[in-house]
Amino acid sequence: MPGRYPAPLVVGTQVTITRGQLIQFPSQPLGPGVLVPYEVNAIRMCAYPSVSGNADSDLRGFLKWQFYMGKHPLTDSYVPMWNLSPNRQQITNLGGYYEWRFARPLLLPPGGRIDAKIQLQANTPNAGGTPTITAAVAYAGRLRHDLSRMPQTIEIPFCSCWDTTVTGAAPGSDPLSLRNPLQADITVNRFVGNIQNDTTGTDATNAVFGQTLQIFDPRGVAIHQGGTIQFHALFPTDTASFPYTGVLPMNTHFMVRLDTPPSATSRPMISYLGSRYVQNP
Amino acid sequence: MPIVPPASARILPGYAGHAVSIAAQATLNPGDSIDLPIDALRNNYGQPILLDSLRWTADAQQQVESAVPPTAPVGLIGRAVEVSLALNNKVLTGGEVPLYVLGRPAGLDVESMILAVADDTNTQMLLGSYCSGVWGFDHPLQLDPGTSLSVHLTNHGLLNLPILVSFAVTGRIGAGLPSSKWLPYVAAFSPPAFDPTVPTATAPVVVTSTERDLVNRTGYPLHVFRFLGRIGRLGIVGTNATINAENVFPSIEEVIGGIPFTNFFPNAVDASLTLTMRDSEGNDNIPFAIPFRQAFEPEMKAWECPHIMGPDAYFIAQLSLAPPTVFDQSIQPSISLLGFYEGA
Repeated sequence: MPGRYPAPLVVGTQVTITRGQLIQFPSQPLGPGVLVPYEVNAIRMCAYPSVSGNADSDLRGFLKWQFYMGKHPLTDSYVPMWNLSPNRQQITNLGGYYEWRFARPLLLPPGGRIDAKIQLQANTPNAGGTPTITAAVAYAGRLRHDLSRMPQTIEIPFCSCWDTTVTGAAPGSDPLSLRNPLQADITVNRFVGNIQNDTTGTDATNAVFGQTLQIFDPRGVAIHQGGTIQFHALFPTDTASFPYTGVLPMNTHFMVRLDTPPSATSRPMISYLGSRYVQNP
Repeated sequence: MPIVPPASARILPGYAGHAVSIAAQATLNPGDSIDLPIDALRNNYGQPILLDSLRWTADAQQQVESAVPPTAPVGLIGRAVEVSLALNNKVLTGGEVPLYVLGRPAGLDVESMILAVADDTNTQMLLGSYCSGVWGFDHPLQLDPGTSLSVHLTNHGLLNLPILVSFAVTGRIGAGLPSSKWLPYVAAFSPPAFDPTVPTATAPVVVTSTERDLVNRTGYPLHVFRFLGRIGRLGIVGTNATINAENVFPSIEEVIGGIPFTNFFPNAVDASLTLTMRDSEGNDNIPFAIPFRQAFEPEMKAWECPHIMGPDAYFIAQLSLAPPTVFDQSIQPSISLLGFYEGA
């Protein structure tokens, strides 16, 4: 008989993917399999190339994830793996493991589920001796036997990213990036920024991280009011992020202006992490 | 009689008390299973102590003659020594548990134990390793005057060396301290090391815990804060190998013979070790097999999941190792649950 206390829960599964593919994770292992409410505190992502010799995995900017809970998306289309969380220690470098820890638990109704899709960029370098990547996803949380009913509203995390994948892209983000595509205001709590050398998959050079940028909020106010700021000053190397408190209303967006256009050796990716409240689905 | 230092307003103002630490140590030969003297971790201060952590070190340094000493520190996994703890008649551990499942590691990226370092001019070995950790208590543990922590230690002989084990409990002492009825508790499942000498992808090696492993033996409701999952890697490393990388170590034959090392990508080992778990309440806590580090995230090797376990409740964990090819090392997993109960 189920206990009346919350019980630990981790659900997850893994798939293999090759360059240029888009794959959906099977849904069935991504739910607890019992009709009780449950909460998810973190999404854990892990990816590594098939066994081979000494090449670096570097999947962080090439492997992109999309999460959605029924009709409620958690991401705005696909977001590079390393833009879903700040860096933490060494584990979040060089491919491997990333964890999107939610500011507050996401409560799912009985039978609810977070589905996941991934795509691997076609020009991913060093993807192992064979171009096969194993990617795993897991949701860590608790079974909530103790809840007799769901609350009226639940808080759902959200992430949107400006991914300058296309070499030679414009130096400024467009209204379709870093936007709020939802029917609710988003409370933003963090920005994450990374730069990758697309030809090697490694970090960009120090000189590239020294490029300057500016981020504007939906009202057009510069976030760094002292003018442009170097990339690694805004997104320091240890966390690649900075905390931000603000609201992104419906149909608005942040705007980024880089002083140096993206290139094959300098591909910035900037995302925001936040959440919104929706009626209990 | 120990001298109690004068009060200092700089030590946690508003919480009273003076900083205090009590330490003890013992040397264990392989196979030893001993009790520390009962007065080793006793409160002889005449005033109650609120303990906030237990710190440990295990040191097995020893060198066998060689012309090429190791140039990098080598690790000793905390599985090499197991400990059981009790306060009066209250258990703090569910039987013996590995040292390194007592607390979350901080800043630990890779855990490994080097059994030997190959000298590439001959086959002499260098041995020696060291590890340490802190079990930070989420609630203070009260050690009344005259009472002591009972400690039992076992050296399982993973290294054929004596191991010097040291303990220190730290906290605050003073007559004006608030009282605490909380007791920490750890239970663990630590099966024998996997030894994948042949690929087991088609016939995985499977081990399953029992009702006596991850169990609440306190007799009280247990407030579990987290699980810890540790993977010790027992390997052999050559002088040219980078040990601070999450690679499988080369075999000694590869090192001596100059054969290119077999390397695996980060996470390859973790992903080959999968886990399911269920509890005595009928919950499938991990219903589908997931990679080990998807349950116990690699930053703190922890799975934070506050919940309450009833007396005698337990978890059953099943580990399955299915590496795609031969690993030149043994894999030593350990899983623990850490919590507190109000039983003093």
